[in-house]
Amino acid sequence: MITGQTLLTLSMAILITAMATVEIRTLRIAAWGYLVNSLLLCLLIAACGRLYGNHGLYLWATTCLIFKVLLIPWLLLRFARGLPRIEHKPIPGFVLSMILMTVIIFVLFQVFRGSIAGVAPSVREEPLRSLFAGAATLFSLGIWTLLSRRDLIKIAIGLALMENGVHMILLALAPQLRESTMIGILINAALAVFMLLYLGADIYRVFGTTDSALLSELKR
Amino acid sequence: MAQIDSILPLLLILWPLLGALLLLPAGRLRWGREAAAILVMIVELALSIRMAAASLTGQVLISGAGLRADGLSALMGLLINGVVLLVLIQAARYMRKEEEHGLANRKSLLLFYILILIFTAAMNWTVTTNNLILLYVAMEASTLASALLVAFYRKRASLEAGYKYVLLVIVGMTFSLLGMVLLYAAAQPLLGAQALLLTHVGQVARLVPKPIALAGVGLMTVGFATKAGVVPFHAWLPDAHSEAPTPVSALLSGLIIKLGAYGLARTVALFAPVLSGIAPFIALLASVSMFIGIIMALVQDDLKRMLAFSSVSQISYIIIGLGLGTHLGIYSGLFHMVNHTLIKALLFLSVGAVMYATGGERRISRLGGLAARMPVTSFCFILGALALGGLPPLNAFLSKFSLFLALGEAHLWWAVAAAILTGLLTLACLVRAGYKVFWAPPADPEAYEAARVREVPFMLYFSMAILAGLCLLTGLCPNILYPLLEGATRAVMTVW
Repeated sequence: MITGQTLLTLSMAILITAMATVEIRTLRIAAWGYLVNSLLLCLLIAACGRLYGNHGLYLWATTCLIFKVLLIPWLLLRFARGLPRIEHKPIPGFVLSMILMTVIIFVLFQVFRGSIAGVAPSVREEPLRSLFAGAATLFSLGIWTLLSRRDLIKIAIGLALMENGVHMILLALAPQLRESTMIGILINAALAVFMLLYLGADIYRVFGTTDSALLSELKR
Repeated sequence: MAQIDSILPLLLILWPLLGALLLLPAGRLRWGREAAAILVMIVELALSIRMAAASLTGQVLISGAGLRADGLSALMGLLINGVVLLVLIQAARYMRKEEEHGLANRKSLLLFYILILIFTAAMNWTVTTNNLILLYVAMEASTLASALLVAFYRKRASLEAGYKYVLLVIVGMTFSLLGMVLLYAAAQPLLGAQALLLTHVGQVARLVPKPIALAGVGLMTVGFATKAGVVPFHAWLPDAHSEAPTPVSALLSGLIIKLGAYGLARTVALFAPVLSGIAPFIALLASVSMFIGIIMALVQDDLKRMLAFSSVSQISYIIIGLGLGTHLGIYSGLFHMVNHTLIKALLFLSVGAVMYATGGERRISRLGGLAARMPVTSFCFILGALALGGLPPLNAFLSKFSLFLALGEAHLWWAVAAAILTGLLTLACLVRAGYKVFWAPPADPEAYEAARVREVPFMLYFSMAILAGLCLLTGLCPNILYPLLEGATRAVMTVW
């Protein structure tokens, strides 16, 4: 039986797995963490489809499964194979990063939940209100990953998490979007991750590192 | 305006994609890939001329898959396909030399031409789609198709530039997607599926509550300003423009940043009459950007980097006009878009010619005295420099002057002052660079003697001569552009 509570539980699980994905320093395990995060997103989309009787969302869930659960994690795992196993030390240490991420999640979730009625009246009611707040928080976590991580693979994971946040926002705000439009967005997301990984692998070959902080050729 | 069903907008996207496939067998012949790519673009340009002719008679062409070509699409299509064709003509010889120098090989050159055709298809899709979300998808496709072109040399600097380009533009553009979704969600209960159509954005502007419109416009401005390379979202631009092969730099500076301005014209500009704060806000952002851009250009020693920073400055002229949301503002913004595309393509191709002749040298401090050896190139560069500086009777004088009038009409006198000051600094910056490279005594005369510097072959200066001729022609006879620009301006304004 799918209820509003199911959606909230799935949203929370998505945020927790995103947090774990960001913090796990072994890159292959982080890629698996992203896979779990995306799988939960697919379940959330299907659950929304069931709860609101929107059968178009089942198709969303299927395409999400193909691109985000199969294709992007496969790309991440494939490119991570020839690169260092452990990510470069992130800018904040583990403890500071955990504290900051916890603060980001709690503060932003409350802020988005409290202020969303003003900018998106269609999600004024629960559970969509919390779903939107969770989505915006996930998007912010993706941005945080891009800003705080130095490893090229981790940055690609950060971008992929950010795209998951966008997908959740679309689910909350525009569940009636056509499937063709969604596929366009998903292809772009997969290609963007591919391009970052492809260039990342070339950078590793030429620079001998995946540390983005050392990309300073053009700062001279 | 009569809406006509036509396959033309769809063909503009499919033909270069088909052309990219044709390059695979053609690439086996000597000059096959170059000839095939140029041939594809000649047909593509003919298609866009046909589309422009239809728009001049007041027709709006509608294709399946949500494509719609109005006056603005026709103008953009002409610019895109004309400039890509001219750049490809120069690239044919330029990239051959890169191959001789070991900077490219048979396989990478084939990929180069295939990516340029895919990139062209993505740009044509961007300017013909009538779907708000697909506008984002098409713009992203243009970024992704050009990323490997930026990183083409696979050297340290080009890889860094390519990586930065992909990451920053994609993250920035994601914000514009969020803005679009916010607006769509607010308008969907009132307009249904039509809330996604660009032709209905004007209605959305009137229907949605102000806080939502503000949030949506703010997010879209961040995204499109990143694509356009406006300060403070410009970090990718100088690196990408300077490290890409020079023909690609001409495409990036001439065309891709214009897609950001196009996105603003199709969306944000329509909110200016509803949200009174937009015009001054965009004017402030663009004034700061144009000033910082030209100051940064002044301190560069690398010719390509100098032109890249000048693009940061000049794109702000275009955006300031579009952001006004008035007829004169949009007209002058689009007018400057056309002029800047012609001038910047000319300047980058001229720098390409200098690099071709001097074995890749692009540092102003190392160059000098080239005018006697390269008369055509020096004439083209200095003409471009004077045009960009806004000197009459060249083309940018009129677009800048009409922009000053538009700003005056909106009583933004401080923005007029910023634009005039930036114009003077632009003139100083480019003329100084032109003087040092072409007329000042060479830093190391023996180095040039050894390299036997002489004027580049006809195939390299053919495109430059055409662009220089267009800069002169549109400056002396601006009326020839008037119907197209008026049609494009009306296309933006009739959706209100």
